[in-house]
Amino acid sequence: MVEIRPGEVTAVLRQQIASAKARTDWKSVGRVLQVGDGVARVHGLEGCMMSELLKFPEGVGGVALSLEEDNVGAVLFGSDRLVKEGDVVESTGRLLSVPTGEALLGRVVNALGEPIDGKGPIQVTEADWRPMEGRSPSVIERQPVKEPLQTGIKAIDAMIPIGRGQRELIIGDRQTGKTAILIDTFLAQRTTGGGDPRNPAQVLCIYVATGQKQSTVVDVVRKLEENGAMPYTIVVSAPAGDPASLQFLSPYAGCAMGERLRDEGRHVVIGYDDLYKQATAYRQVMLLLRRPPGREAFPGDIFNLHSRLLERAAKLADDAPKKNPAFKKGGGSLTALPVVETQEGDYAAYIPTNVISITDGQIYLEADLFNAGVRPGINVGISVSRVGGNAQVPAMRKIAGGLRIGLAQYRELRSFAQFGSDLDKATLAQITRGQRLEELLKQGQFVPVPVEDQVISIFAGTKGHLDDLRIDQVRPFEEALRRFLHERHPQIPASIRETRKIEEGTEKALVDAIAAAKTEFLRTSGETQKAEAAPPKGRTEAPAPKGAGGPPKKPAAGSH
Amino acid sequence: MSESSRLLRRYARALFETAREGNAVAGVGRDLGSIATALADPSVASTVLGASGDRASKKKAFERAVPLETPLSRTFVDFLFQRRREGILPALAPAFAAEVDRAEGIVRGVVEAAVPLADADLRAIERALDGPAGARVSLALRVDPALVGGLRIEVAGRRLDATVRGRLAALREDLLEAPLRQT
Repeated sequence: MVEIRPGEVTAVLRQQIASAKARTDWKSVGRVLQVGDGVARVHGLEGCMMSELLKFPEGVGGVALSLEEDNVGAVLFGSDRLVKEGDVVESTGRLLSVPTGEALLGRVVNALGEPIDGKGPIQVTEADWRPMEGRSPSVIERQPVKEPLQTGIKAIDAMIPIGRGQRELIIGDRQTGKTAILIDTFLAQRTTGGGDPRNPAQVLCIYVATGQKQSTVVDVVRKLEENGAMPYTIVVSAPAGDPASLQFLSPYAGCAMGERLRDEGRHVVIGYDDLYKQATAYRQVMLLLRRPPGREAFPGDIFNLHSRLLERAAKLADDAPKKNPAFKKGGGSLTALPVVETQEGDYAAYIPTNVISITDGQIYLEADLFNAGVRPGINVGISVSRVGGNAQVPAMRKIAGGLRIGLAQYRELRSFAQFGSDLDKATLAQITRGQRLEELLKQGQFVPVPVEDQVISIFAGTKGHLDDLRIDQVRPFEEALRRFLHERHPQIPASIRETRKIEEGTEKALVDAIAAAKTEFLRTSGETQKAEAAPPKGRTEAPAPKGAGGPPKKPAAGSH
Repeated sequence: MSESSRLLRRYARALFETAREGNAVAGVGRDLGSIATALADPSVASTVLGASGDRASKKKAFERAVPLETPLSRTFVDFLFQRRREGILPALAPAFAAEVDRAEGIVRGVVEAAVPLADADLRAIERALDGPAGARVSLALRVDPALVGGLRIEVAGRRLDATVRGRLAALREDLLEAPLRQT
C-alpha cells in the first residue's frame, strides 16, 4: 500500500484546486427514463455517439450502446441503485477510452484501466488514453506472420507452432488446463528479454480475465509474480462479480493496451480468458437493451463482437509508419490467444464454432487426456495452427514432422496395444515409439522449456534413442540428458539456439552425447535403485531438480 | 414508452394542423387544458379511462365532466373514443403546446438560479440565447437556493452550468480523478 502523508495530500489538493479550470460550456444532457439491471434508457442526449462515455449522477459512468429515435440505451459501470428516474445524464463527447502504455506493465487494472492492485495511481498523461474500440490494421499495414512465439510447451512449439501476430484459440472443457497454457506461455516470454520490460526484445504479456472467479485472478497474479513474469505483464480483471458491461468490455480494454505497445514496435501476447463468458455478458446486456435475440438468445452481432476483437491481432509491416503515421514504429506484433470453454467437449456449439472460424488455428484440450495423465492435455491430432508453421524455428520444423507421423501412427495402433496380442515387429516398434513420444510431450506446469532443449528432447525421441528405455524412465532421462548436455557439451544447445538449425557436425555430436548420457543415466539410476533398497541411512541422493524430471510428480493442478 | 409518445405526437400534430386551418388554435388549447384539469380528478379519470364500462357510457361521463368550447375539440374527442385512443387524452395538452411552440419557433427552457431574477434579467437572458435561425427562447424561472450562486440554463436538450454548486462538483470530480491523469 502507498504510505499517506497528510502534508503531501494537502499540497496536492492545493495544487489541484489552484489549477482547476472553471468549465462552463454547453453540454448535451438527457434524463433517465428507466433504470435497472445495469442498463438505463435516457431521453434526450441529442447528438450522442455510439459507445460515447456518459456521466450519470453520483459519479456513475456509462456508455451509449443503443441509439434510438427518441432515447438512448446505455449500460452502467457502477451500481444502478445510485441512479434514479429523472436524473440528468451528461454526454462527454469522448469515446470510451482506457489508459495505455508501459506505465501499466506490472499492474492489475479493471476494465476501465483503473488500478485495483493497491499499488497506487498509474502515471499516465492525457495522450496515453486510447479508445477501447479500435480499427484493425489494414492489408497494406500488415505482413505475414514470420517470427515464432515460443510458448515453452513442447507439444505446442513442436506441433502447433504459434507465430507472432497470430490468433490461436485455446479450447476445452473446464479443468483441462486452458489458463495454465496461457500462464506457461507468459512465463516462457521471460527468455525473450530477460524479463525486463524496457528491453525492446522482451515480449510483453496481457492477461484479460473476463467473468473469472476473483480467486482465479489472484492465483494467476501470484503465479506470475512468483515466477518473475509480472514486471512485463498487464492483468485486466473483470471478474464474475463485476457488472456485465465491464465484463464484455474488458477484452477491448486489454486489446487497446496491447495495440498501443504493438504500434510502438513491441511484441505483445494477449490472452482473453475467456470469450464464452464475454459473450454471455454481452448477451445479458443486449437482451436488457431489447436487441432481438438470435440463436441461443445471443444477439445478431455476436460474431462481430469476437471478429472485430481478434482482427486487431496483427504483425505490422516494417514500414507501417510510412503508410499510416498512427504507427510509431513498424514490425510490432499483437498475438491473441483467446480461450473458449466448452461444455462436455461440444466444440460444435455456437460460440466455439464462431471463434474457431475467426482464429488461425486451435489447441484442443481434452478432459480424458488430462485425467489420463497427459498434461498438458492437448489433443495433437485435431489441434492445428494454420499460419504458425512459417514461423517455426527451422531445427524444430525439421524434426517435428517425424514427431507428428510417429504420434499419428501410434494413435492408429493404440487400441491394439491394449490387447497385448501378438503383433508383428514393425507394429510393435511403432507402438513403442509412440508411447515414448507421448511421454515426451508431457510437461509440468510453470516449467517452460527453452526451444533448444525442446529440439534436443524431440530429436532423441523421434530418432529412436528412447526406444530402449522403459516408459517411466523417459521423463527422468529427458531431464538427465538436458543437464548432461548443458554441463558437458554446452556448445550443442548453444549452437541450436544461435543458428536455429541442427547442423551436420552438431547432429553427430548430439547423437554421441545422447548415447553417453544414456549410459550414464542407466548406470546412476541402477545405483539409485540399489541405494533405495539399502537402509535410509545410506541415502545420498540429491533432491530432485525442479522440472520435468524426478520421481512421479504430483499432478499439476489446472488453475482453471 | 417510445411507442406511446410517438402516437401522442402524431395525434397532437394532426389536431394542431386542423385547428390552425380553422383558426381555432387558442380555443382547442383551452379545451385541452380543461380536459387535463378534469382528468386530474381521480374519480373522473377512473370512469372515463378505467377498464370497466362500455364506451358509450364512458363518453357520456366525459361529456358531463368536461364542457368543450370548440366544435373541433368535440369532433376530435369523438374521434378518439371511436378509435379507442381516449387513453392519450390527459397527456394531449403538453403535446399540443409543443406543436404550437414548434410552429411559432419558440424553444422552451428552464433557468435555475439561487435567488429570484428580475423580469428584465430573464428577458435579457432569453434574448442572449435566441437562435440565429429565428428561434425564440422562452425561459421559465426555477429558484433553487442549493445552487449557491450563478445560473443554470437548460434549453433544447443542452445545459449550461455556471453555478457555484456546479463548479464545486467539477472540482470534486477533478480531485477524485487527479492521480490517474497527473503527469
